Amino acid sequence: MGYKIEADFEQAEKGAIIGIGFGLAVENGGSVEVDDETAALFKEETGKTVHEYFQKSKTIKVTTVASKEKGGDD
Amino acid sequence: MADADIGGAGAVYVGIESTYGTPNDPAAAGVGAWVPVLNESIAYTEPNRYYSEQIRQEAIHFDVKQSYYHVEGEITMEVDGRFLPYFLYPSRHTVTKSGTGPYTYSAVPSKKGSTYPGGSAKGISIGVIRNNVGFLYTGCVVNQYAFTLENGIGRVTMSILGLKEQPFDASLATPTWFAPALFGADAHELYVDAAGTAPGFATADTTFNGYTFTANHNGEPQNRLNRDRSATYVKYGITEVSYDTEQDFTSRTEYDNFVAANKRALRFEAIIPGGSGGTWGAATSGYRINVYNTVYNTYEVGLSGMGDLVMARINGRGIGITGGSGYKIECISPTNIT
Repeated sequence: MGYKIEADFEQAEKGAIIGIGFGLAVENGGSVEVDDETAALFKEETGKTVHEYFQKSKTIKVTTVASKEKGGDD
Repeated sequence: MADADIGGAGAVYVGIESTYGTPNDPAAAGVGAWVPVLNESIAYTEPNRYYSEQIRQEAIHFDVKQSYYHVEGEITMEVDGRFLPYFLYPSRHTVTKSGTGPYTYSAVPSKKGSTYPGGSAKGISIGVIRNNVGFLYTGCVVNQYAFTLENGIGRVTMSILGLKEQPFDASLATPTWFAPALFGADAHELYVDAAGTAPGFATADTTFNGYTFTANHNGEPQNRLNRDRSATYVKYGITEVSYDTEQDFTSRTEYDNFVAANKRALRFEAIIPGGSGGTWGAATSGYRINVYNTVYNTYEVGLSGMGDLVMARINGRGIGITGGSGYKIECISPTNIT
């Protein structure tokens, strides 16, 4: 199960890059999808799932999405 | 037991309070941002903890009681137009905002005497995460600003006074961070002109070396009788405005102005994008400090050594001006504080 992370920071301009920690960033007004591997690393770091971690956030909204295959190098 | 941690893993949140003194918790909805600082020293401050000197055939204090407290400390950060407005509102300034993005914030000094409860004062809550432990300081105002340059980079140290400290649950906080937009060595210019409410500041003066501007509102916490040890409000004193700089000494002009106590105006301006073609009007981010009516408090010129440049060490003092404000701090910012 992957996650879609959306940012809506009212005081900042749309398109501003917002770092949300743990090597992740999202455009203000946009979204980014987190693959299974990154989500697992996130849980390792925080002890919480991405969804749990941002549950109380006023700027970041998280929804679950179907897992994405992580792309290979070949 | 938790691991020991370093400062770099910490975080500082600044939230504008909807009502002065009412907490703006980092984990709740509110106007605020996580601000990248260089250091902070905000602290619960209890100046006179009471140690009882009861005489009871002992020579040691025999009891202790908590006394009045307030919040006090400093925040030092690189100036970033995105965050400076959060620190302009909670102060003894009247702040206006114009533009549609980027926005221009203008702060001029006011004569407000205090942050009296129920009045019009604006405050900030400052949340600090230190080794995953949350501290929340409320009813905070900036009592003093000291803008300076460090290796050509704009920096500001703000002295904070606040009312109250309380914990907050750091595990519920989710800090978010914007890319930095710092003012580098190609961002700054200094202008000198005749004193007035609207000097032209037409041509930058390139003979100055370094610049520090200080506005001190001489605030003091006030504790009143009620069943709460925290400060009741902050009382302001005289607003003291000064600047320090050095100048290549090439003529008597400014020295004579010092001796004659002639009034001058000074503008420090920093913009992004900088460089030789940069202008305030085209800036996407900027800050500038206009001191409209100033005199040289000291102007020292000496031969400090055989190999030393002959420079004037200047301390200037800002005063009020008829029909205008003594000084103005302006900031061009992408941040929209509503």
